[in-house]
Amino acid sequence: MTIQELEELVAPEPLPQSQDTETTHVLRATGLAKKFGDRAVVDGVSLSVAPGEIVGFLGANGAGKSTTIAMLTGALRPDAGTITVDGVDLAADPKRAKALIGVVPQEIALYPSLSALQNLKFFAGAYKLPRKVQAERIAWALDVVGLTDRAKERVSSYSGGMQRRVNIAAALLHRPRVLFLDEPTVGVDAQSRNQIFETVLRLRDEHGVSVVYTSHYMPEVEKLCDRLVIVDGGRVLAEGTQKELLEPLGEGLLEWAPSGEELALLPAGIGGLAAALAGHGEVSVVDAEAAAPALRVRVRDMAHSLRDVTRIAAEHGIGLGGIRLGRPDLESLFLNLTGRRLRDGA
Amino acid sequence: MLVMIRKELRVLLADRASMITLFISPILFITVMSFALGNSFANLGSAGRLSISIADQDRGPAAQAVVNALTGSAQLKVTDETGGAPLTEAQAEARVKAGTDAFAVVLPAGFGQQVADGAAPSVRYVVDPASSRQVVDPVQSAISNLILTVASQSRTEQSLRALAAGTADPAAKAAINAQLAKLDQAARTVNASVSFPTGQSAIKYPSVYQQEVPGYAVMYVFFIVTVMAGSIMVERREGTFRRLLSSPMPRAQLLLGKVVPYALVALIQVTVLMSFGKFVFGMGLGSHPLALLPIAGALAACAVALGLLLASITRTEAQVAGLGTVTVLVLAALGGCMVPGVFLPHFMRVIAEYVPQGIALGAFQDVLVRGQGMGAVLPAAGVLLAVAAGLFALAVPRFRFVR
Repeated sequence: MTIQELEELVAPEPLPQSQDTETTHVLRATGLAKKFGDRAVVDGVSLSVAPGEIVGFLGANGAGKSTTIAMLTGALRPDAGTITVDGVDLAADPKRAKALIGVVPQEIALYPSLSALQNLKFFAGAYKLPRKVQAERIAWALDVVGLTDRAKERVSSYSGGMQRRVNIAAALLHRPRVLFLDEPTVGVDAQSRNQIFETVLRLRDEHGVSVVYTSHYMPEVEKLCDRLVIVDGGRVLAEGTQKELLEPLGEGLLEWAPSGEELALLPAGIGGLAAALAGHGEVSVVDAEAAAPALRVRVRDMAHSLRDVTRIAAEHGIGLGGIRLGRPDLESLFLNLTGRRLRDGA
Repeated sequence: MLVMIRKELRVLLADRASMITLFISPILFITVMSFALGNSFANLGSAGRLSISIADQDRGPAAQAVVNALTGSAQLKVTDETGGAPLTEAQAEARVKAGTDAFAVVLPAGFGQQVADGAAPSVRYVVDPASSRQVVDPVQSAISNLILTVASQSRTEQSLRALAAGTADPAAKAAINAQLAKLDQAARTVNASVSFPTGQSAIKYPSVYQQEVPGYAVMYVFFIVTVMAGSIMVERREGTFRRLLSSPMPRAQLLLGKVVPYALVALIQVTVLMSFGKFVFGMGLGSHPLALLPIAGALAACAVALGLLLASITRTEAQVAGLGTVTVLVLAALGGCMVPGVFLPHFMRVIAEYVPQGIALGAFQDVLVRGQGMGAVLPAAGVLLAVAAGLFALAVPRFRFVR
């Protein structure tokens, strides 16, 4: 293959004309619900993704995130709700709708005893790409993930990062309109992670692919995603751009968790402390019934708040060891919305 | 679906452990067990001739008549001389001691005189202590009766000959001679025929290869159960099923694409093992070798259906390996794949008739051993297909691509 031919292959393709005539959304889900036994795992989730948009889909383990993704990608049938991909109803016409979806599972969903080339040939066949097109698409996908020169090696001989990149390439062969990336950087080194970021951005910028991106690593979500959807308990808790979502957090979160002995030094207890700081922003008490409850303040002015906190502590002889400050980021947003950290588990 | 079949075969070919389980292991078992059990099959179905020796110390006509009667028996292999000389008592004993003969008959000097005198004739048996008494005792008894009969006949002949010598009437002499001829003829010929109860026919027993090759072929075809179910577990664990469920490939095609390659491998297994038996051990394939195909096809269907059921009811690869191996080995034992049916007690033989492995093995041996054709094995193939259909009906509703 000449360089010119390769360049033609990897040249940006014009976006296919959207078949959704009513909206500009390439993916739209409404009222998705799924029960396993009596347990409602997903309960009325709705979301939409615009062409060329990267949407971060966030949730702790057990939040219903994987089940929602499984339904959106056609791997699981919802009990209720509708999903359309580029205007095609996934339930009514699964063949056409699935041809518009690319899925990169969290696992290395490849056959390790086969080469990257053999794996890609198989997945190209599974998407029923004509033989002539297969060779072109495989060359293009290998180029996109930077593995053209090692395509004939067994996947089992690859590093974790290389396997992740082949994992992505396998989802690109049929040129999907929307690509689902489920924790695509788990267990990879920094260099491979950067290559994966570049691949995602290139797919968006050069090929107009929409991306639904799930990750536990907040920095990469902040870096990549145009918009975020946060789920917990099977429901959407918040949705919007980072700026929209972080705005209510003010300048950040101030958490104060005095010890039991320190609380005893406060005449009015944790309630008095909450009242004293009420002027600095929205105040909430975490674990109010516990022996050592904590105070959480979404502060408007961090410097001013800290000045008052240190003054109160000094007045009552309380140490500052129980104070934690959080800048207004996705971690603190998630904590504020759900009361737990993203990696706390179920 | 072709793309699934091609991929599955590629993955399987690259899996050395599975290839060893499915192809190398049965070949080794067939080879080792055939050599180990070869002698047990050598005389299966034919009684074999019992070897005895006779030391005739009398050398008279009565003793010679006994020797003649015994050497004329189709059931006995009689040695009464060595190097052209009559066998001595010591030589006969040595043959028994060496295990060459099961026992020796010693006709002592004076045997003829005892017969002529009408006294009970003396005879001595030298018996190999290791010989089966179940075989030796009845033969001894029969020989004793034979000696009495020969003695009685000898006396009658002597009386008739004396009578003929004493008469001058040619008509009476001719009548006596005719009686003597009849007596002689009667002593030589017995009109015997063998028949079996109505509806039963003679059993033709397999050679050691005709037992071991189809036996282990049937047993190892079912090892596809663990290989296939294990592969399904890996696809679940690795997320490849989840990825394929999001492709336009319908679920039915996906499932068939996972099952059909293993059925093909099972057919290849049978072909390879039967060819191994034929070309390496010279095993006969019967008069209609093509009749092996429907049995192999139905057997393969049964095996993959069981594999799918196993994958439907288990959750881990460890469960597949444990439950699968136990199931395959127990069914193989019940089906007579490990121990030939002729060595099994009656109730085990009855069980084997209801186990897919036993049905398949019986049908294979109908073709290989009894020379039967397509028409004779189709009922067995039909039963196996019905079993396969039942297993599929149990497995498919329970099957999940993703757990």
